[in-house]
Amino acid sequence: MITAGVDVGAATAKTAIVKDGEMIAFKVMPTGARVQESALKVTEDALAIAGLTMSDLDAIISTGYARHSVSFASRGISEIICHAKGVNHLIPEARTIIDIGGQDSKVIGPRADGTVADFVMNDKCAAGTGRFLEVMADVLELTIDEMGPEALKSKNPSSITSTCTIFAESEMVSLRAENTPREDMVAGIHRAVARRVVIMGKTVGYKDKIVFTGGVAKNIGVKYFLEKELGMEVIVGENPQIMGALGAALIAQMSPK
Amino acid sequence: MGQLSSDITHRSTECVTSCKKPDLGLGSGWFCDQAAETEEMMSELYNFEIFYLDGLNDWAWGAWPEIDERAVKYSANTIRLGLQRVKEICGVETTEDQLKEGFRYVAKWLYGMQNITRMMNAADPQPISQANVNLPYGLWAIATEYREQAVDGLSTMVREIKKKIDAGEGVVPKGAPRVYLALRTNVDTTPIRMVEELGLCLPTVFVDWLCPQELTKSPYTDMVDKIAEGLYRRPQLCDASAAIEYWKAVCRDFRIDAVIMSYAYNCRPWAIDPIMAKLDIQKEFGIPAIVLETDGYDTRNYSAEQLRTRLESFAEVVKMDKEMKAAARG
Repeated sequence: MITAGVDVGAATAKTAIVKDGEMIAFKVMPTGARVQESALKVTEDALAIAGLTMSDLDAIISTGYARHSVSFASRGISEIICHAKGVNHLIPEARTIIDIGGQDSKVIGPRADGTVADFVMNDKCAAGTGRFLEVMADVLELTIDEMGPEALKSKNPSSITSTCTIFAESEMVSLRAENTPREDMVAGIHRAVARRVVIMGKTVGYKDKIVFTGGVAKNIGVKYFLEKELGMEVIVGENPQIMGALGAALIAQMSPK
Repeated sequence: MGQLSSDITHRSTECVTSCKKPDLGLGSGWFCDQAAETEEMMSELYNFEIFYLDGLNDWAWGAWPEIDERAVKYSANTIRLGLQRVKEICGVETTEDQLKEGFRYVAKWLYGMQNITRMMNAADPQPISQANVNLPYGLWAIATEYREQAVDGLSTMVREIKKKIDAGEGVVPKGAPRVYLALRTNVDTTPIRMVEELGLCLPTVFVDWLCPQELTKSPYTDMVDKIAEGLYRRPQLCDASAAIEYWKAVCRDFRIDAVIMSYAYNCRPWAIDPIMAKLDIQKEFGIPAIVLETDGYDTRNYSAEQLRTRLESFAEVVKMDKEMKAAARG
């Protein structure tokens, strides 16, 4: 059986192709302004990598904030359920998932079978998410990929009191005026993101093993500060941003069209 | 209380801008900042006096349902001073008989609402949407007019619910997981509708149910003391421990499978208790629980799609939890 999981997030669209329970291809691309077109394109590209076409698919499940806009999917399932399923497939021992995406962050408590026991998600604003890091990177004249390594250079992370994008930007202006080294400001930003997520997830609780997913998991600075704040090891898989798409494709394996 | 204060804010603004300027405003400075601040703003803008009614939230943990006489007397005296101010400014005296009449109306309204709550609890499937129960819920605030019509309206609703139960009609599937939603949005019913559309049954919502501790006879004979004491019988108006005990009692008496706690960040007392309650309920009952930040008044104040993502995920968690427990029971 061949299935696809399509995860249309705030920043990127992802599709994973699963054949008989194993992932055979995936593709990630920016979501852009046209959600439906991006979802279709990313799915066709993933299928092309696997040497398949749409007609080869037995079922398609969509997830992510725009899941209900994916007209070619048979069903939309929330990303919290899909992330848990995807992570469970690759790291069955995971009991905590920290997911930081483009505009939201979540802490999920999965069971051994990959179902969700508990979760918490950020409210309202983009504080402590990928978007926050993007804005801060822009302020500090770095690319998003340079942010993590820059943070790890710091010996004295700045104290950033706010993860509100607007207030933190003001704090950056003040720190720059005081000639604060850039790596200290960047480290301070990463520590603020980690602290916010760690505090948010306390009602779910942190149990070993902790797996970090979402696009921000590729940022080694956030991983470093999460481990520091938690005092626990945080695992990042090979392709942390596709866990939702993979989970959706795996769930689709159980419900063919 | 946050959503109530939002409503009060809206209603206060509407009232003052669309009606004749009042001579005096009676505002609550007790639970939320928002209502009191709105009254103050209205007072500044339209130049009328506000009298603030006050109460006490600084109870000893676990003291409720024992009601502190000091708190009753303090609140009763602020009510008396308020009524005195009404007399001085408006020339209207509130008599003991009028207070009794108002008390009788509230008792009738409560009786009708408890009838509805009992029927919603016993029915399967859930006969009507909790969003429709919002309609009689707002009737408690009727001051002097249309009281008879309000009581008649409640009776009509009770009859209509009975008809639906007898016909086996419902708004969610029979046997749906029973969820307690700690939120009654008086104006915007979106969160309530979202939960029901996801196939979850809402046997009771917010603080609709009167728990046994609230139904005991008042030791006070003076009407104003009785009113003040009646307020403190509501667990949510005392302290966090009382509110948490109430929510646990709801879980037991309404055979709840999952809990959706809600807090409004503009309401400080209501922002703390739900997070404590979530952990307590999960530990004691082993059922799924979630805390949502919502604004009960207006979907423009929160992201409806973010709320939907949380509720969809939670609904899936709840359904799976119920299935797994049923499977474990064999």
